[in-house]
Amino acid sequence: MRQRLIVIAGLLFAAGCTGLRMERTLRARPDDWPTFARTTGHSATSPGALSPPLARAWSEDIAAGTGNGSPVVVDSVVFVGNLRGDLYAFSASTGKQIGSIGLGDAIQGSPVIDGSVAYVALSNSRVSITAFDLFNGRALWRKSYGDVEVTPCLFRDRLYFGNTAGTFFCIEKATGDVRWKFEIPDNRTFKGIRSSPAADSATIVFGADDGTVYGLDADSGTVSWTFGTGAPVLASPLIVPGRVFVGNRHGEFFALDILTGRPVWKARTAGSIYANAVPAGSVIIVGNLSGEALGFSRSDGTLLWHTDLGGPINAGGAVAGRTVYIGTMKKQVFGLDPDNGAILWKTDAGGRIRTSPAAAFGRLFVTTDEHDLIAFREVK
Amino acid sequence: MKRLAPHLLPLLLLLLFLGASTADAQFFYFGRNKVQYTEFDWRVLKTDHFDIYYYTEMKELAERGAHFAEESYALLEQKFNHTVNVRVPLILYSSHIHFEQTNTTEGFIPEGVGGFFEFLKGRVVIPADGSVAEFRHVIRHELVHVFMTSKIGHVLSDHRKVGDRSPPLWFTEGLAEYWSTEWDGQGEMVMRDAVLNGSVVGLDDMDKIYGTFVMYKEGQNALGFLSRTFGEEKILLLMENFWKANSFSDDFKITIGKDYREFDEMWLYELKKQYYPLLAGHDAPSMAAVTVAREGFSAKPVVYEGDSVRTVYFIGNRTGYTGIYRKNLDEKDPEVTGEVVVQGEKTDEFESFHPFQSRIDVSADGRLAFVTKSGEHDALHIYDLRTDEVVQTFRFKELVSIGSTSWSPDCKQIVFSAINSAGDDDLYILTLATKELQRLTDDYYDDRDPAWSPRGDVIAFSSDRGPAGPRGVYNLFLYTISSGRIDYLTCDSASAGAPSWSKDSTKLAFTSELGGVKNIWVIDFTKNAPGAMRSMTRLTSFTTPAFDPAWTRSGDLVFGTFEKLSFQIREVKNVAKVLDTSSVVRPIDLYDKETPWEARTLAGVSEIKRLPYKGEYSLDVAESAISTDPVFGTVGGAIVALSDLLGNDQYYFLLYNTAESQADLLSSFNIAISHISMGQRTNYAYGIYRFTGRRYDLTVSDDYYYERVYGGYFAMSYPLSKFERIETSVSLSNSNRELLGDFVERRALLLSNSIAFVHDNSLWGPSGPLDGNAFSLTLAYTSDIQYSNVNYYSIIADYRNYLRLATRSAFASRLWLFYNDGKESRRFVMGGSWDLRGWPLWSLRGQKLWLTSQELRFPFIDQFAVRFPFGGISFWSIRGALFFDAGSAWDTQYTQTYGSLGGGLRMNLGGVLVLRYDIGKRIENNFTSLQNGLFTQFFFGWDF
Repeated sequence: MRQRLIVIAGLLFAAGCTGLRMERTLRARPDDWPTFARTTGHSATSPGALSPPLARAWSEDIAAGTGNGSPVVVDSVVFVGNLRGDLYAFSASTGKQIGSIGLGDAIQGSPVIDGSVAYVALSNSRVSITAFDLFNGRALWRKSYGDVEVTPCLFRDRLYFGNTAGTFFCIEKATGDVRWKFEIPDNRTFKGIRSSPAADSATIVFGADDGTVYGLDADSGTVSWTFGTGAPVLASPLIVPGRVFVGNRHGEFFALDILTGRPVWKARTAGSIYANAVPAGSVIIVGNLSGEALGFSRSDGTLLWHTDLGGPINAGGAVAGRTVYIGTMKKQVFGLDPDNGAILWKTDAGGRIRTSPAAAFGRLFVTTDEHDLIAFREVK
Repeated sequence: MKRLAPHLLPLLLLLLFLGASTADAQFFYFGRNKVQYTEFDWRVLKTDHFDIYYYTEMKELAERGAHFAEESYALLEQKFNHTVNVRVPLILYSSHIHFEQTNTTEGFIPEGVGGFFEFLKGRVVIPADGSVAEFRHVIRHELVHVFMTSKIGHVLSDHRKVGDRSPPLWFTEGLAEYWSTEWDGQGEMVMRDAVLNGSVVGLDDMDKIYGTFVMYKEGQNALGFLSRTFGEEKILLLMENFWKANSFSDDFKITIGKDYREFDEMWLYELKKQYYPLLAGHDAPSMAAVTVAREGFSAKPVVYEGDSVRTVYFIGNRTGYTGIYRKNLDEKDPEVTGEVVVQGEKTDEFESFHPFQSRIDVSADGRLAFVTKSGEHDALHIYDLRTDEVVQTFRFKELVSIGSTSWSPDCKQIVFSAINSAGDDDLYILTLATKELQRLTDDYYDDRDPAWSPRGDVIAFSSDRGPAGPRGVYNLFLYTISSGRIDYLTCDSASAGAPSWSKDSTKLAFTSELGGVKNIWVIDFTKNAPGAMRSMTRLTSFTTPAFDPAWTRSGDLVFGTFEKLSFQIREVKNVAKVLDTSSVVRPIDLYDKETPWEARTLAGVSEIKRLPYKGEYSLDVAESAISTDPVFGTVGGAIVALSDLLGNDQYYFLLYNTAESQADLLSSFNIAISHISMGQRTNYAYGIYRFTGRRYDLTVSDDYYYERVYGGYFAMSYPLSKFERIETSVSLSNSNRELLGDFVERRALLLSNSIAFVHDNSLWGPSGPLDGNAFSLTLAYTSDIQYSNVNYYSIIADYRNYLRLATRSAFASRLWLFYNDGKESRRFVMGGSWDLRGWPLWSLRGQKLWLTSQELRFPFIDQFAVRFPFGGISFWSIRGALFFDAGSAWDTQYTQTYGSLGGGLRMNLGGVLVLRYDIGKRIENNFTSLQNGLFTQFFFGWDF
């Protein structure tokens, strides 16, 4: 009798934690969206088209809310980390759950998939970065770097990320060993780093609570430049050739020179900017908490259009073909024409959206605070 | 587990329902009444995010509320980075007096409550008070609560954490203030007083001021400091990190790197740096003015000078009841409290005063004009100081709430401000002889504190009709009686109010918030050359505020002050001389004055629908339970309670089964369905029930029986006033009883009638009443109209009197006379800590009963604090008592008298439970000997 109870208890425990092991190795595909905003520069642009209208292909329960990252997709497998610390994997085409595993207290950002290894940053846990072997279903290494609430940037076999205490790390992806670290100066009252770093050929760029955008040399960690915006920078930067685009909590949006950090242009918007900007041709698109989606001329910052989406925009969009997809806290997903901001399509996702969407393998993946991962597909 | 006899269950349900219409009752049959005087014609205005409930008279006010609500929603959506995904019910009242009638919450709503957010149904309930800016502030304040509740719930849900906790009250209320209003004179008043008098507490000690207005303002101030020092986004981050921490202090540590103690060091130091320098140029009121009245609460003074005696009249509270007091102004001893002229809050006529809202005034011929709430509306009373009696009382059907009063110089008219059903606060003149009412202003500007000039040609008043009015800034205006023209008297960025004319009309004293808190300023009209710019001179330079100046004939000023958390009355003598030495003179620039502002209504609201209100019901309680009892076996049941959004109609469904075998299942269902209606003055309840099962009759020793009873009841409660009501009920039930063991069967068709009168104006202290009295008389008749097996009548009389001996001490008396007589009449029970102390609980039983209790109640320990290494705990208000009880219970023949005497301690736990410990001696053997040794009893319950 006692043995039976133990077995039942064990099964009940295991039911919430099914394990995560891929039955095949994951191969890099052109359509992959392997990290937050897809690339190290946060371009958030899918090589494939995804034209509206879209229809719900499937929807799966992910048991908790999601943070400031996005789902990631590699070789037709969707990975999403939730705020309970679980990493889920689903078939991108059918939504069938492949597995899940609890890694810590909360995954605020996105997992970063590199081959068959998932690098996951954790918040409020003793372990802050886990390198998880998806094929073998076990951790390769787990190390603590403080409270990490961003998506690490995987760049030239190193991971770059900051923690909420104001320390920025460069670590070796193979071992987790610290290559270098950078401390936000002690004279700053607000030191946290909640902006996921982006990288170009030599520079790592991120914003910080002290209102500064930092450009660090990727190899040495020395400060290449800094730019003070005057308000906390919680949004993640976008890097397109020669430029950094980022907004701050006062609703100001900046284009900076990637080499010097000097502002090229600046625009003021009506609400705090938490969302990363996305590029669509010559237009840079960003949303703010007042519910505006804005399209700026990439070259001179001219406001080309603005569209009221009716609810706070907490996360950046995803570009696929000639459409930029953006979710709002009012539960809606919009497909906008990046040239003029026209609403091409919208749908109710059933829950608030505070996480960026991902577009890959003919699907648009969206998470909601109703604990759903939803895949939309084109309506043929 | 013992159950009461089943025919008591409907009675208990019935009493429970009637009890729902009363508040703060010790036992079910006492308590004051929350009277629904007004029948509101409710409507619903549906906007993008809100369902706004209002009544027809306040349509325009509701539309302004709709605008403010949507405006706040858009702002808070960004502040919280969050959306509220349900429509928010916003219930609006046009005045506080209407608000006090709401059924959305049980219990009484004190005058200081400006609105509330009710968590169960997510309702926001808000009254207007005549001020558009304040209306907007309160709406935003309550919506901060709505957003915070949703945000915190969302954060916990996102992280799959149990949603059983919320941020501390200082944070929720502090943030509601911080994000809904600017730092204003009230906040400055509280913080200056707390810092300069050493009573400010840090976040680590907020429990010491828990729930007070000081805590609201300290919370607001702390968040302002946090925002300035660490960034406003940290406030949002505190909420987003809420799931990480076991305490809010830990949350602070995670979010800003400092826990409460470390934060307090910074914040409290900053407060000292900010406020200590004030002492270089300012003085505490107690250091710079003559004290007139110091004890308790004292405000709104006026001076009457007749027969060469200068008497100050003011609204005061020394005992817990607010009333009008008087004191010889030339009495040197500030400890002399003065005498009560009009005792308030004990009678229907003077139900309550408005000590922060309504100034009183005295006429040249010795008549006092003052305002009290009296039934459905406020009433204006005229009190003759020579005969010491109220000579006239005026009630105005169209005016709900009345503000300050001021006599005309010929003593024939009174000007006052009042709020009508639409929520507009305007000025009116009442002609006493004809009772004619003339409306002077008619708009949505908040016109307050009129002061009729002794020359008779103009009325000065305070109003928000100036350019800064939308921000809640008041200025002074002059109303010319002959023409009806309104002119600016001041036009400043800081509020001015409470104007008061000197007896010769040459000077106007008033309060201004220039410099941070209200101080007294004077305009001297004799010093302004024709055509030149007027100026105002600062008379007082206090660190904490001064209010409501009133002149004496000789040119002194009497006024209210706030210091050390106390409202007192003080005096500045020879004002003219003080003004001559004042160095602070401010020109009054009227050239920038603008045309009055316009209040926006539905601007920015895209979705608008207006609908009549139809009861929108939702669940209040839905619980099911299964319990197992060693005697009665397993019992399963459920209770469901529904009520409409306004709380006017409630439905209760009770279902449980007491079957002891499968065969009994169908016959063992217990069902009760009840409806209570409280939307009108007469509350009523009706219902049907069926109860069955084994019972134990508490009043008859060791009797178990089985009973099936079904029937219905109807009950009504009509409040005569806040203090008195009549209750009546009738029930018809079929009772079939079998005594277990001897299988005696008794069948009856019981018809029960009762009527009761209840009076209660008692005033409660920490463990029980301290003042006033309570009385209840119930007559009831129960008969078996089919089989004549039951036939008895009941008389129940209960009288309690509380004689106040000192502020916190009282002598309490109680007398019970209970009488049941007839066939199968019920037995009363007595004994134990609640009645006849020293005797075992409910050990004395009989169809007749009497009891008297005499008790001296006094304070014993005010605070008992224990500090552990991990934190502290405090026990407050431990009270002492000396008591004497005597009584008896009998059926047909009186046997003996029982008694007891002794002392005890009572301790209030959190305002909801009183623990009692008594020690003493029983008086035994028919009151002839004392018990050997001592009895001790430990129990719970309020003092009688």
